[in-house]
Amino acid sequence: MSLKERLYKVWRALVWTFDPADRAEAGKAITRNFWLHWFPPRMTKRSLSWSYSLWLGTISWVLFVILTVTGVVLMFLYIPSVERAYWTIKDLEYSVSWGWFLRNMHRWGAHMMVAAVFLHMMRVFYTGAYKNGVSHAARREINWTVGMILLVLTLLLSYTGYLLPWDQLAYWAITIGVKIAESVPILGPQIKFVMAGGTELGQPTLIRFYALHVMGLPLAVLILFSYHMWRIRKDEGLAAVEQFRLAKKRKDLQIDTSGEEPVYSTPWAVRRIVLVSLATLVWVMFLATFLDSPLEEPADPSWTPNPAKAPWYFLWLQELLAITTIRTPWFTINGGFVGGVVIPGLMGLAATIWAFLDKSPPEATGVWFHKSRTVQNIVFTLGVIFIVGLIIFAMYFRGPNWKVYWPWAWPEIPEII
Amino acid sequence: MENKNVPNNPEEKKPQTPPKKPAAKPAAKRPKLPDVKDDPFPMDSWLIYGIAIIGAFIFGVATYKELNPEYKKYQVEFKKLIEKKFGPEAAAKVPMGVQQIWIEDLNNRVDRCITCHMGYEWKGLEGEDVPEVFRTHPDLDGLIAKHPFKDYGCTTCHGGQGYATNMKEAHVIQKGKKVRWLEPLLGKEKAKEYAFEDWQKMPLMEINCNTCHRFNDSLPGTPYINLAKKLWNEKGCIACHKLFGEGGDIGPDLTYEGSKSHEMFDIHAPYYVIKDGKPVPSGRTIAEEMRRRGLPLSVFSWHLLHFEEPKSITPTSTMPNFGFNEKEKRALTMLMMSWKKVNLPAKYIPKAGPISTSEKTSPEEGAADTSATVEDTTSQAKELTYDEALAKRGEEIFDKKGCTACHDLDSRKVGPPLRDVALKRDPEWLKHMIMKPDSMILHDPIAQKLLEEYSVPMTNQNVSEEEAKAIIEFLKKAASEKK
Repeated sequence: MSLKERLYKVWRALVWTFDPADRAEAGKAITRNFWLHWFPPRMTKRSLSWSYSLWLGTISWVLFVILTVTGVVLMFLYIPSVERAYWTIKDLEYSVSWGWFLRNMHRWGAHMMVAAVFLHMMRVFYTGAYKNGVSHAARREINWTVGMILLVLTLLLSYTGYLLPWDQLAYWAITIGVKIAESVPILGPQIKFVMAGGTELGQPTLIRFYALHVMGLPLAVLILFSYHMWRIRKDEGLAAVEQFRLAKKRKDLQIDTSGEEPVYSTPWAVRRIVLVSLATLVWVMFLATFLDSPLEEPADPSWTPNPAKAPWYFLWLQELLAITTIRTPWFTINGGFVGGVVIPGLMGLAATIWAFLDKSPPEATGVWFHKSRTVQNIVFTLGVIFIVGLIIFAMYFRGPNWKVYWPWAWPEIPEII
Repeated sequence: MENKNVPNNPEEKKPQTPPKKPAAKPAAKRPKLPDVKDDPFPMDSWLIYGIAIIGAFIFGVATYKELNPEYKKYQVEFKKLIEKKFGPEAAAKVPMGVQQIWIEDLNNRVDRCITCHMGYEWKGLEGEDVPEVFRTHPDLDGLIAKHPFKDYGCTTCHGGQGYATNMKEAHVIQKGKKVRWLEPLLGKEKAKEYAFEDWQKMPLMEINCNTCHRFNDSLPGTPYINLAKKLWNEKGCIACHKLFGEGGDIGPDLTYEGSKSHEMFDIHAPYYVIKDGKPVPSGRTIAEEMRRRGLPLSVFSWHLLHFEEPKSITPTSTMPNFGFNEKEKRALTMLMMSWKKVNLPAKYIPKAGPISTSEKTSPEEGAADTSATVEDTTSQAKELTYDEALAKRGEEIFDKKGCTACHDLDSRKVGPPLRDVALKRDPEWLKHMIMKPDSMILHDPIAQKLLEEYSVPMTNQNVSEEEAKAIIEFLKKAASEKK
């Protein structure tokens, strides 16, 4: 045996075969491999197509891996203390080898992940992928609920990471976030106290956010993600497969399944995963190389930037809070309660239980924009437009004192000298 | 992603990619399954290669950025200069990579300016033929001997962002993308922007001199600040403005005027002009007026306009127009900007009183008001009476307030021994020193002389008048028990 053959044998034993000789080997390559064993030996072609899933779940996961790897390296360089945190970020920017690149990868990866997870949720909704179709074992609405929790965890991960540079941007964005939590009736002050570790943002807040950011939340994501993946297996595959099953069961529906036949997971699905991972990595590297992460002046509790804005994914809450606070001589509406709790709470609750209430026929499972789901798709889209619209409005049209300005007519703030 | 070429309907493209080895035929038993060798996504491999190449290219760009920082070309140039002037041996000693001065004692200040400005300490690079960036720092034996690089760094005096290792961000040049750093380099460019006649002398740096030296009446090399302090006294600013709790209430407290946030200056408010002694809106905002005059939009410009005519900014202001000339306006603005709240370690606090170029104070300054006063001023009251109970309470307060950290009765610690202080100073003076040491240092010659001797200013411990009285009783008791 040549060295090349020997090496390939070792590789095959440890990882997977690139080039299985027959069906048995293709199957073993999945079942005997730790990293791949939760995949089925074969997947339908449509589950693997670009157009069905857009691969957003995989992209989210790859981003999580990129964030974990860069994050662990950053942990060697960052000091979670209010005296040192900001300056360690300055060091990353100016003197640590590849520090700027690491930080940019981490920052853009985080923004991308928030976006990817949200888009993944949208895809699942529009394809009716939380429905069970004709499968008897599937409980896909559970996975939808897990997905909602993962979305919230992703937002929290991004939010806790936002504070760590301890610059003006971080400090005041987090202050706004804490204020939103504080405006919850009755429990508000307690929630704020627990979040900030005191009555105002300081060292206790930083260390809380840091511990959550590097340990608590990633661990929670990891566990829930594993469950999320395991459930796909128990739910008998992606919802796209239901069309395949339905076609066999109900000939009368005349479902065209020509794109559905199964292909071997090794090497075809694995190769596609490699492709998607690589593309995601290259995209984040591209952003990291050409777009620098912002770092403002050191955090200064005595100087509030005007306007102070929450991180972009919470801007819609801040805007909602502002527009639902109404004061008239006759009555006052508490925006913190209406905009900060009632509206987002109801939206989140509706989205979560939607999967349990959706009574559309099995044919609507695993297809984009099925005609039986048009009304709910429109309602969902309005919700998305509402959130995205508020974010864009608050980001570009809200100036000092939360007044409305054109983005190009923002009043300038003077320099010192 | 580039998935347009991958058809989703496999029937259309199956014939395009016949399996490589049609010989192996396990699939024949179950005809539903395709052959293992039958590639359902023939574009994927090419996409992997393509994206890998793009990725390698992007990584190459990132590597180039990493390996070629802006400062590298300065360092190469400097090495060449040294080789030309002092030979290859000297050139071999030129360090490469990020260079920095780190001052742990001065709030962990880090200044990386010397990464490019490498000649700052080299003797022999003073000449005009050496490019300015590499020139030796002037006045190494005078000013720098008193403010050594290792203790002060660069930005303490020059401003700018010490951490940065590229020119735009280190010098805080606000053209194009904004640099998020509050203190720009106080160099020639900035002085030119504000139309200083002597911009070549970098006059704006005086702001930073006075941030530490604010308690010195005058300082060599700071003509603007000295002028401003003279004006402050002449015009009686203290009548309306407070400094460290002393002064009038009519105008705002100016103790830390230089630390006021720039966000608090509304430059979009209307600018007024004075007609028949009354302010009328000019139709322009303050920002527009600054632009009209070619001034940067800044707090500095705001102060310039305000000193010119206070009512043009705040029409209701009662501050008179003193008719300051261009130089005086700039001087006073610099004084305002210099009054910053800074956290100075004890050893950096300058000596109070006048500072002259020679180490010793000139005789007429020295003898006139201080030397005699420090020792015995009120030695007339040798017979001390005190209230026993109050003195006991005073002793407790003396302990509780932490006075003992610096003061001992019989020996010199951080501050002077206090055994016979009640004999030397009258109770009124003691009361002031205990309650308001900061303002005493400002105004009282004895306190200033003491600071010069002990070099650490006494802190304000928030002692109430009643508590101060008790402490004085305790000090009287201590003095009477002197052996």
